[in-house]
Amino acid sequence: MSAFLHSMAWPFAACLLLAGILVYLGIHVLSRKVIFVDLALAQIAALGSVWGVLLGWDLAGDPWVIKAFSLGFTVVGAAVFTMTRMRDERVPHEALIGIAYAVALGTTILASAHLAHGAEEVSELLAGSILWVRGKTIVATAVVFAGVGVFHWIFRRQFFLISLDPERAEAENLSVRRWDFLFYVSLGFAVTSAVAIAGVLLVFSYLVIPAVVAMLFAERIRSRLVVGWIVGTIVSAVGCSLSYFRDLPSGPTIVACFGVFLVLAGLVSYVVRSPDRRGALVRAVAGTALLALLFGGSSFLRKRERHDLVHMLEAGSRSEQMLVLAEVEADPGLWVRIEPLAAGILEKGEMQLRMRLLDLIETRRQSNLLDEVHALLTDPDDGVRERALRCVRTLGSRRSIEPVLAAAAAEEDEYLVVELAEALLELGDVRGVPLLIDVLASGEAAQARRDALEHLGAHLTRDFDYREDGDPQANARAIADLRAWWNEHEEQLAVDAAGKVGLGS
Amino acid sequence: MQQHQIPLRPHSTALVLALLALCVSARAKAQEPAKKVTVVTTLGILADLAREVGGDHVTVEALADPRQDPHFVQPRPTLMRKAHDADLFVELGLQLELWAGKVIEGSGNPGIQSGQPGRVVASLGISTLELPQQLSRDWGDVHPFGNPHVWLDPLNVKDMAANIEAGLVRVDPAHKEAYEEHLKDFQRRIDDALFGAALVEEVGGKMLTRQARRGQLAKWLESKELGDSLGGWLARAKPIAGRPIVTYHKSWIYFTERFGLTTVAEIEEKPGIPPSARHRDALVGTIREKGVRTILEGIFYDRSAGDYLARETGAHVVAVPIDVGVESAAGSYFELIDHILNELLAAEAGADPEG
Repeated sequence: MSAFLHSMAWPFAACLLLAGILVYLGIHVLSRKVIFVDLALAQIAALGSVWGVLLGWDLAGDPWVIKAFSLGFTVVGAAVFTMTRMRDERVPHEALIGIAYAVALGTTILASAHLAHGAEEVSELLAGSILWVRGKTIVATAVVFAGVGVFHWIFRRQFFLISLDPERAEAENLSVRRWDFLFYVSLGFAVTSAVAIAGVLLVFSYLVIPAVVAMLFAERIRSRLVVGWIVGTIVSAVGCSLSYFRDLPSGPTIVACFGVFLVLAGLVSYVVRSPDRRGALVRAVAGTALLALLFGGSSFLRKRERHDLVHMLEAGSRSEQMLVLAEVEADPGLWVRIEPLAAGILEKGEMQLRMRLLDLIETRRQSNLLDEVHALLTDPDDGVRERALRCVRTLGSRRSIEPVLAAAAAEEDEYLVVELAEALLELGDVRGVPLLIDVLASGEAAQARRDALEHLGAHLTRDFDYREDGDPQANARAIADLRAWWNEHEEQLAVDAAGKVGLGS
Repeated sequence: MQQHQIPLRPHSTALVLALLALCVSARAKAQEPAKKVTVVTTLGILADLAREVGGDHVTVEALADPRQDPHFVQPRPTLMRKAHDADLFVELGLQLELWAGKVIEGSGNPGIQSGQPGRVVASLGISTLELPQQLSRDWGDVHPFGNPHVWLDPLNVKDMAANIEAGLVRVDPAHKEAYEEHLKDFQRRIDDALFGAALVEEVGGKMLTRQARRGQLAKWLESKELGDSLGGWLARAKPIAGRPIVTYHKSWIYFTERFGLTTVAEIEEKPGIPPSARHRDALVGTIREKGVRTILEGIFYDRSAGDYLARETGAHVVAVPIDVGVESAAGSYFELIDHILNELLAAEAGADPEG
């Protein structure tokens, strides 16, 4: 529990702050029927930030300038919404708000198309990051919210009058335009700060859902506020806990909780208000059960997964193909099912797949695929050639001698020539010796020559006078001697059980 | 013809002038001595490789802004026009640039469609990491071809350059030899930069590459008593080898694999989904417990998570570009790797890399 408190204390505090101011503003917003005005204002504020960045200000370096830009845009947006609220609504105000939102979003995307982090910043705005807020940010946001709250408390009469009853406000000689403007500006300030810590999605939910629930159950403003705050607090607590204990992203979890809460509240309100309560209760329960049944029933529509190994290996993505080989390695009994495909993969499968299959053939000592493995000794990729050779050496069949010799004749990489020579000697064929001599004589890399020398020293019983740091001419003579010796005795030489090359009996 | 009979209005004059200008520029184009191959790439790194391999015979342009997330580029009409004019279109593949398909489709350029000679998939033949290890419901939907950020391992870049070279030879066989030579030279310079020129001279780049790929390089060098000859980036990265780091996205696994760093946690559990509170706390715990000093992330990610972790734990956020083309930091691939290594070394040494 203490871990939970320690972990979720700040996000929960942020949620309570949001509920505190947004539930109140939500009652206004609902009364004015401008549900999406917060989205529009938030988007206009975002456009302001992007505009500031476009003019060369830096989000990290000059956060206050950027903030000023976004607030400036908010004020302009507020002015626009004030002026477009017409008394005889030829065009619904909500339509204009929607248009403002769409245009602001479009312009934001346009403006950020050439910005360094354009797209990410816009999407971050929507996602929100209530999980990463800490004390300082929360305190700063609380100060803004408190400012808006105090402002609205002082002028509560005017604000409620113009929201609930503009006609009467007009009759009382109140300047509806001025108070409208002040309302939208303060809403804009609150929403902009809220979006910065929680994202558009969460802010919208806090603004609208508690206020809607409150409308279902209360008539007077004061009771609506109390109900809204209670709902906001309960959902925040449930959402934060669920998010923590079920390991889910916080913002979306809280929004989903709001949705569930609203449905439950709607059902309760329906039953309570119905003249025939018993019948209403039955209908509500039946409706819920039907929904649950439909939802649960849809799980029968789950797509059946095809774990058909052969199909996956033949037509799957690289992941699936590699997966099949991993499965076969873990469960050797599966090999017979994929064996018919093995030759085809070795011939023209993707490189990573071929290498994996070569490893598998090596560990399983699958000699029946030896011919296909031989073909890979001359593959264009040196990694594949190396693996194929390792596989050949493990399988250790004398059938490999001729293919290895052919591969050695074509091999460009001197280290691989050394390995091929070693493979030949392992298979009891002395023709590895001249390959080693060639690398020693004309190898490009000093290390390759050293390797060749080491192998010659290990295999030859005959001593020869080559010194790595010796006189080049003496070394050339030693190599010439060695070649002469080879040419003279090639026919009689043999490899013994210990791998030594000498004159056979 | 008498002027006053056909009075030219100002904007029709402008039109005539514009047409004239077009004719002149078309003529100028026709008179160019040898037409260069126009290469269009998705990423900056691919453009850099195309320049390395193509040299003076190509003009190259990248479509993605290296400061933006290469996964998400808005297809714009200009991108399609550029693709329309391309002789060679180079993409990384592995489903990194899903937007490239739309650009190519919209370009109306038959030569660069899938399977045509003018199309290069630079990641062809490169082994990918992070393929799923067991059958589970989660496999497949993340990276059906493995993690695509292959270019942050310098060894893979050599193969990518080879794929581009093959493409250039297909569309411009006349300069085959030049391309081959440039490729060899580039691969050699990568080897030199990674292993140190002296060691490459002594052993040869291919052998070193094979050993490094198998993860056996240090052991092999030890067995050949060459342990002290290692130079280049790998030698510079020795002080941080084995160090635990935290990364934002899974962009870094090829880099950490090559330079021996251990990624102990990622901030982003799944791409695009905000982490949960538990994951956040686990990150803080892991950073403290393992003594992580560096949180590595691409410059285009939101910093709030990294900064939160840094403040909670005292680790440093190292925000670096992952693509070539960011001025002053990563103008070329060599500068990019240099820059990332420098920032990492500074952070691990305890100095503030941004100070």
